Amino acid sequence: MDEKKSLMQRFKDLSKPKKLQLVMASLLTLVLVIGIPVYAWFSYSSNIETLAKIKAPTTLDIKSGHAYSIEYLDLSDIDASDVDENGVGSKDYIFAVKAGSSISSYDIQIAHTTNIPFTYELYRASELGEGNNPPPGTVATFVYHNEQTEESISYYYGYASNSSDSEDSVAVPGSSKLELTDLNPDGDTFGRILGKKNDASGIYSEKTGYSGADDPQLYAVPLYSQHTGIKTWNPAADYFILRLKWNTKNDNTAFAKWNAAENNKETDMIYISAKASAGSG
Amino acid sequence: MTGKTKNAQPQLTKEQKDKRRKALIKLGSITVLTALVLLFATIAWFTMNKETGTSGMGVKVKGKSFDLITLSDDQDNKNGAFYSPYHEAIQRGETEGYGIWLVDGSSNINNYSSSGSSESSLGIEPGSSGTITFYIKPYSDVTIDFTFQTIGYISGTETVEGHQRTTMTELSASEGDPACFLNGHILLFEHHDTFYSGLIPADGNGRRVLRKTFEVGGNYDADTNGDNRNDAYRVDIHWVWPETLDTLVYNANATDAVMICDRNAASAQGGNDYQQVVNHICSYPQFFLKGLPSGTSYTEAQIKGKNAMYNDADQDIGMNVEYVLLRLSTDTSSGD
Repeated sequence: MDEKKSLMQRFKDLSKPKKLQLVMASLLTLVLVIGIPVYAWFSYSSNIETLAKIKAPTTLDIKSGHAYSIEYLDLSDIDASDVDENGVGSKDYIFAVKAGSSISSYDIQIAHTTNIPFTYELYRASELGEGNNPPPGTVATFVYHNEQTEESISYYYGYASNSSDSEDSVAVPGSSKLELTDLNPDGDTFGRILGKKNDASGIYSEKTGYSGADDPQLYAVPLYSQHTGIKTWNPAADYFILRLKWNTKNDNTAFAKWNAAENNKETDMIYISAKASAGSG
Repeated sequence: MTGKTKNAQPQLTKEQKDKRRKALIKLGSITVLTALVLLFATIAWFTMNKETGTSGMGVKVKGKSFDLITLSDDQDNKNGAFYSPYHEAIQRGETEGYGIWLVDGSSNINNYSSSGSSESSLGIEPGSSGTITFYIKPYSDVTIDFTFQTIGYISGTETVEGHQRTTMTELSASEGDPACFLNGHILLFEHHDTFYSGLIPADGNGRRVLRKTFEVGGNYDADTNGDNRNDAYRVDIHWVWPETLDTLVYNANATDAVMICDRNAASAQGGNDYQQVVNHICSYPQFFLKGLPSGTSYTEAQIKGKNAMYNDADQDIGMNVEYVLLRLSTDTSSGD
């Protein structure tokens, strides 16, 4: 017959004291199951804890066009022979600074070695939405092509003045060029007159090979320049155009060591760094 | 026994069936009711423990050898004490019950917010420091080991039955992990005057043990304003997150005034606190400096000026650890 019925029957068949015992045993088991956590609570409550938040450090990310990862910032493909009638050539690259909402303004510093006689200029740019026309006052547009995603995104610059707090608030055409303030010692701001000055001669080392940490090859010593107090327009990404310019004519007599740009020159290293402006944390 | 036999069950009448069903329902209802009563009793325990007292929470262990007293939630006036709502998510996941160490304006780790002020301003960072307090009320002369731990957490969310709720995940504190640096970058001291003294150093497992003896009838320094802190000793723990390594290990770039510990004099409590801190860093570089593994005992000269490694560790904490839990466990020392 049915198993349940027989169990019930068996329970009924038990004598009264045995029934009582069974019920008590079941209840005690239940009490134990519930009671153990209660006891644990008691025996550990001489322990206390308090929770505090850790503030995240303010960070600035440098990214490539359209705020893609920095690995897509490719500074290659420069043809030094591609110049105008004055022998002047230039090439633009876009990069982004992601400042986040906690940083209201920041500084951009650019450092570069001087193997190739490039000059560097920095412009603020804005992304041009698809199908939109650049606003009046635009100096130039620039198309960034991401090799990985096969995307082409347009940027324009020369529209708003950098002093404005947001890219939309000021419709006055102005130069968006960010003047780079020279940070180099001894006023050696241009060209390739660099490196550690020789104490005896007062000029930089012109050795072509590496001859020790304190005596680097002169073109390997970077030049520094920066623009401070750049206001955060968009916490997700502010865009900048880095313009490399060169001159193929060796006609600038102002610099004793200036050489004309050629395609058979070697590599330069360019460092772009961003840091929250003092007091803007 | 009754005279009924199991094998020869007679055909049950409808009446008998009903009777049996009734009996079954009765038994079932009583069981459910009993379970419910037990459940309510259990819940009542919890509720009672949460709401004990109006101005203090006393906890007794080992036959009342001492009470550990901290602020508790004041039912009438909640402004006096505070704790982070994220703490609830930790408590939910804990198998062992830890009481919440409530904080107020003078006793906190930058996690106190008086009502109305925004919580976003709360938080610690390199350069933060402060004091957190508890009281010990001894019932017999007792030596207590206070074990402090700093545990890192990150928050997340999970969906339970269609509702999103916050989760808190404890971070691994193995050597090289960001949370491991909490053991060194948040330092605990017994005393603070102009300089800090009485370092409570972490051992290899990140446990910082402070042993103190309390006597009944001693010179109590707690308020005696009628609450249960009468006849209790006040224990202040001074925490500091040094901004740079130079403030711990003297470097030519630093001045004596910025140092955490006095480099030139023994503290009022005796002992050279500066040297104690330096020795601690030399023994446990993995708590302080990113990229300097344990296993070797370093000298002061070897760790001096390694600010970049210290800052890297700070950066690791800031980027990866969202919350830090300061946990205090008490244990009466053997022999008591």
